[in-house]
Amino acid sequence: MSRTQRIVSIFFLIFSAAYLVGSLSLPLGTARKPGPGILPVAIGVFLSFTSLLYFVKVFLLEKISSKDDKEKEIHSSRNFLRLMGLLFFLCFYGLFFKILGYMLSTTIFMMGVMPLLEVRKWTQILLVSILTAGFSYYFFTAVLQVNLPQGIIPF
Amino acid sequence: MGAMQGLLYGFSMALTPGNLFACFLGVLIGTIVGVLPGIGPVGAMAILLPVTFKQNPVTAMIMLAGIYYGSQYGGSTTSILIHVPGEPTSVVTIIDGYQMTRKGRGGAALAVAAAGSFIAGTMGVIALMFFAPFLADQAIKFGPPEYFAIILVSLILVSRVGEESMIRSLLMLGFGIAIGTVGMDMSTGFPRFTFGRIELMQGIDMIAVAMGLFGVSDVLLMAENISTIPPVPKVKFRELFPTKREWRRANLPMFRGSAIGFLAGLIPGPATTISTFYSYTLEKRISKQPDEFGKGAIEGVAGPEAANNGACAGAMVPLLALGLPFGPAVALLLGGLMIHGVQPGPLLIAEHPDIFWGVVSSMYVGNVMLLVLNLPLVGVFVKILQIKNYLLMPLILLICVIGAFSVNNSLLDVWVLIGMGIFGYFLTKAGFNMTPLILGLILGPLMEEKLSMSLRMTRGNIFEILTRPLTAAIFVVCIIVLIAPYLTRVIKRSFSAKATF
Repeated sequence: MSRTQRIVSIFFLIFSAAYLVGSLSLPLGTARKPGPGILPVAIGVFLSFTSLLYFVKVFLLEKISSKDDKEKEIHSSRNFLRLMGLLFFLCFYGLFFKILGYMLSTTIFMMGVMPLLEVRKWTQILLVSILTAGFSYYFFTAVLQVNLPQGIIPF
Repeated sequence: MGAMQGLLYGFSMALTPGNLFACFLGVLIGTIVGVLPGIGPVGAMAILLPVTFKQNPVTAMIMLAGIYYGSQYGGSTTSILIHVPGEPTSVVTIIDGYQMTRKGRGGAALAVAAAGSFIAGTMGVIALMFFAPFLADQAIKFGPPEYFAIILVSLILVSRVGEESMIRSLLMLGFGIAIGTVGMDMSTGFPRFTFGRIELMQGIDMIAVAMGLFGVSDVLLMAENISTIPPVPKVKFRELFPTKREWRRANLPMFRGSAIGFLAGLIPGPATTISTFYSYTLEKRISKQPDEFGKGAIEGVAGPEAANNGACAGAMVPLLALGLPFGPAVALLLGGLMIHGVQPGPLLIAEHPDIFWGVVSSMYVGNVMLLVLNLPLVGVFVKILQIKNYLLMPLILLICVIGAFSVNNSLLDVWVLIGMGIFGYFLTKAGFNMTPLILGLILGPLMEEKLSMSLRMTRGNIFEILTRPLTAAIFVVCIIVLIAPYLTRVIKRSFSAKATF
């Protein structure tokens, strides 16, 4: 069993316990007039039981296999940094999307992500970022008529 | 409305310039998505669903359906030419398709795959045209208890079919149903797990979840390994024609695959993938040259490629006749219907004949378009594989963020997208399948509503629900399907023990 599976099993255990505790505070109603808590409690119990089974399977029944780790885990620190970088810029994009507006936040996002994807020339990064932001803005607003946030730039 | 009358009505809509363009766009995007490893039809449909807001429901459904069945055509291209499956549904095609390419018969394999997909698509649509209205007529007689039983059994079967670990599937199912309870309870109006936030009163948006799980997580997985695509062999137009002998061998597998695929689509689960395995196993078992399988047997391409397209049409039957999606892609089609204010269910065909017949007719047109796109233009699609990752990956992320934001103009949906993307990444690494989660999210609230109505109907007597004839029959079928594999194993073991004796 890989380390990832252990992390996921712990997550499910915590989630299901929290969900069950939360669902017990909801009114159950009666069998004739079921309340909003009936399905959440049932699912909470079901999830807790299943996550416990999975936890036991992952932690107690099978050992960590180094072969599994090689196959399933991130292979190198370079890939790990790329992944962390992508997540950072994705979170940045979510945080500043409305504040900076679509154009500026998208340009910064592209300029941050492209070096992670092994583009080295800064002129290429700058040009592709600005063009992508511009063309996509036009496509979404003019063609698809999607409302995009303006932010500090008036478009 | 009779079938032929309906079909003509459907063509009167499908052949309008706007709907023709939507169909073309859908099948084109579907083919491209099918060719590109990494992003699948579910991700593409989730990403483009918000884009369809401004369209009318018929046009939106035509485009989304086009992406769904179009991706089945595209997935075979990379499987056959470079040993890389464009979609999970084309994994089986690699076995013999790539071997045919190594023998210089890649063009013939592509042609047979496209022809098989076309035949299955057309046969599937004909069956859909007759079967769905019939099923919808019967389903009008279903009450809440029957619906509750069908949904519960579907969710159980989805966790059982095509998944090696039942515990993982059940976990995903439970998690999906759990997050579906967030928001205002439909029956009582009581807020659940909203933590006082108004944005959560509407619940967690399915589109943001689907885009995160299938779009963002795919990009994160691609980011781990930015490998170069191996050189793609050139296929000349004249090489696209199989020999007479190859056509003769491919004929019957195409028809068998179509039937297997359509029937698989009626059952909950990853029908488009499972049907390819069934078809391949069947063709190998009944072939007069079973030794050729794995070395370039054309039946190993024809059958599975027909099966995955047949499954697309089959999966549309429960969606359009009952309003129940049995797979993630059709779940998004259901989402599309609901977003456009169309109530799915057995009354859909009667109340919205334009949607049903418009989509069915467009599937005929779409299949013809796909045949033209995938044969003479296969070289163009193969060039798409050369799109640089530094363009494709950020573009997918951008579209996901815009799509999530545009649903409710809310940043919460963007955070759900990002959160689900990260969650989906870890789940995929840990070997989980996303299908039960999405189905739990969509069908969970519906199941709860039907259970609540059933309990009110029977004054709280749950056993009365279980003893209704149709409900009981549905549960009995479910039990049989669940225990059948174990029974088969026990019977086989006892037979082999007797033989040894």
